[in-house]
Amino acid sequence: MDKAASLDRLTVPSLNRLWLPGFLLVLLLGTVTVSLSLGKYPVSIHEILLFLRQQVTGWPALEPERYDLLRNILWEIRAPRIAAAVLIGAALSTSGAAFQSMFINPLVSPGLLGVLPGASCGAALGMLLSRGWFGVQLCCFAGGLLAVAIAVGIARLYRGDRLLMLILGGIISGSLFTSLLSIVKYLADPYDTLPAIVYWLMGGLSMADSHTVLWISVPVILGIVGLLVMARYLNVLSMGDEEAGSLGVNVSLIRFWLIFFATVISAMTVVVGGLIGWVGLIIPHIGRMLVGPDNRMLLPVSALLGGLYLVVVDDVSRLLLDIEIPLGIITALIGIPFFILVLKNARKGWG
Amino acid sequence: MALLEAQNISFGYGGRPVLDHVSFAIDKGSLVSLLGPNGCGKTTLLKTLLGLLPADGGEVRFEGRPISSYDRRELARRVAYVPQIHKAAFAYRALDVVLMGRLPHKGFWSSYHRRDERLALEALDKLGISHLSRRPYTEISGGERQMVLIARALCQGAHTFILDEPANGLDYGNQIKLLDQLATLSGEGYTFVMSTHFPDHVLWVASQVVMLRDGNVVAEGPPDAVVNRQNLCHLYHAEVEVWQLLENFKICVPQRLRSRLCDCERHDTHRPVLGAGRC
Repeated sequence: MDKAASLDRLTVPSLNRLWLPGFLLVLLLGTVTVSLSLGKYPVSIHEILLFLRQQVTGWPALEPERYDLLRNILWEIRAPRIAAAVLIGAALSTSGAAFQSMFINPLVSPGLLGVLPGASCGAALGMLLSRGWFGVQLCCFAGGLLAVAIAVGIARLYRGDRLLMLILGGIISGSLFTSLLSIVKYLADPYDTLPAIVYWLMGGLSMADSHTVLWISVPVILGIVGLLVMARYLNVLSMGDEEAGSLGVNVSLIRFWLIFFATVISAMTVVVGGLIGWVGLIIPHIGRMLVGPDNRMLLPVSALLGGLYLVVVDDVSRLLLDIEIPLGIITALIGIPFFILVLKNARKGWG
Repeated sequence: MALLEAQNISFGYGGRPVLDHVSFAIDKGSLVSLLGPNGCGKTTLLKTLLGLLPADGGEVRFEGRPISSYDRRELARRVAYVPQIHKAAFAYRALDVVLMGRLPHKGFWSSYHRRDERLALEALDKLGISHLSRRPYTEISGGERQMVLIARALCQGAHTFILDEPANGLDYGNQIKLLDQLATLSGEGYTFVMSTHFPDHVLWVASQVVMLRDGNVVAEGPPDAVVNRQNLCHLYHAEVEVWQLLENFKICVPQRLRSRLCDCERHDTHRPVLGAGRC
């Protein structure tokens, strides 16, 4: 066998690697459809498909009254919530995977730079100060951005190992906003505002209305796409700053945009769903088990897995008991044992 | 014209000078070894040569142009960095690590093609490590990882390689394999600058030596002229002798072992030629 042919045999045809994302996408669409049918008011999948056909083509397939009812249940109540679950799951998983590569550590989560405490604190402050829902969301987003800006600012104060400084900056900024959050809680009205804040911090999608979901979907999707585009650079960054620099990468510029995109989409998840932990930590691990660490493949697969995971968990959260269980509690209860299992493997390439 | 020139470069971390007016020139195809004790500024010097650390004073010139005038991607296509072996956190396939070398050839939006993968495989093949291509980078040995990083440098299309202590942490056999490989590539016109802790390695393969102590070049030139007792003693504060074995081969011998070598001179019938060029 000549050499060229033997080399060709070794190259992996890239199309063969696309079946998994394709399969996950189909699975996600199927899960979304099934989730639409689940709820207090049962709707058959057949009816959902008829409804969707009518929505898309305008061809009247249902009686007008039935259509209006379904439109209300599916379109106004269930769809925004399910869309929010997909977006949040995808956003947390993608930014988690990106942070793990960027910080060369498979055990970090998207909250590493303090975005989650910052956003929570912002939201709590918003609840304390105003009654407007939009004001709360704005404060929440601004808080997340501010916390990360402070972490990055602290990291830039001193020369030294950039990644280590960023991690320390994140710890400082995160603790700062956690304390600020305590102050806000302390000041909040214990009969009205405080329970709202606490409930928010447990994470949940019951507040996801179509308007909010629509406007956050644009930055979240753009942010995820931004991270996907930089996947190759993430691969190189995960080998260390110097190697990345020697490969012609403008490390600080790329890192700035990575942190920016990851922060924006993580803050957005808090805006809609409050604190939903552990997703951004465990989903990238499952992704890595399935497709390996190459971010070109890992990021899209993590996004799909994350969306899928959170839709299912949200179904459990709203259907398991008569009252809704906060989503953040379930993700933590699933995440923690999984994380303990993961530690066993993660230590290998780590110590 | 020299390929790579350090002209009076100085560098300091927060006021502490690390490099103090360092100058030397490197020709194409040479294999330059950087010798010096721990903390003498070797790694800093290498990073300055790579343009990763801008010099505080003086200038690094590559192919006659100041290194700061190069676009980083343009420079990455010419000069490659082979870092000290390190543990990787993620289990990339060796092929994917080599493929990273194609990054400076790609625009922001264009992805790797089959041709890039082909070049990566050719680089692995050239070093005789094709069998590693699918293996996870985290599971291969240190020596294999070092070879994969050299393959990446080849795949990068660079002809000048800067290696930071490539032999460190390799077992004896792998050290020999590595140096053989470097010597072969150097014969093909590739230029190497590597730091090392082994004066013997310098005597085996280097065509030029730069000795660095406290940020100063204390000696520079061909190994024959520079690697001698005086310089090694000055460099390491250790009593070392350099013995000439045969016409064109020398070894370093710690002074404590000298008496044993003298014994060998007396008793061994196949004794090597000792003496003439010994310092």
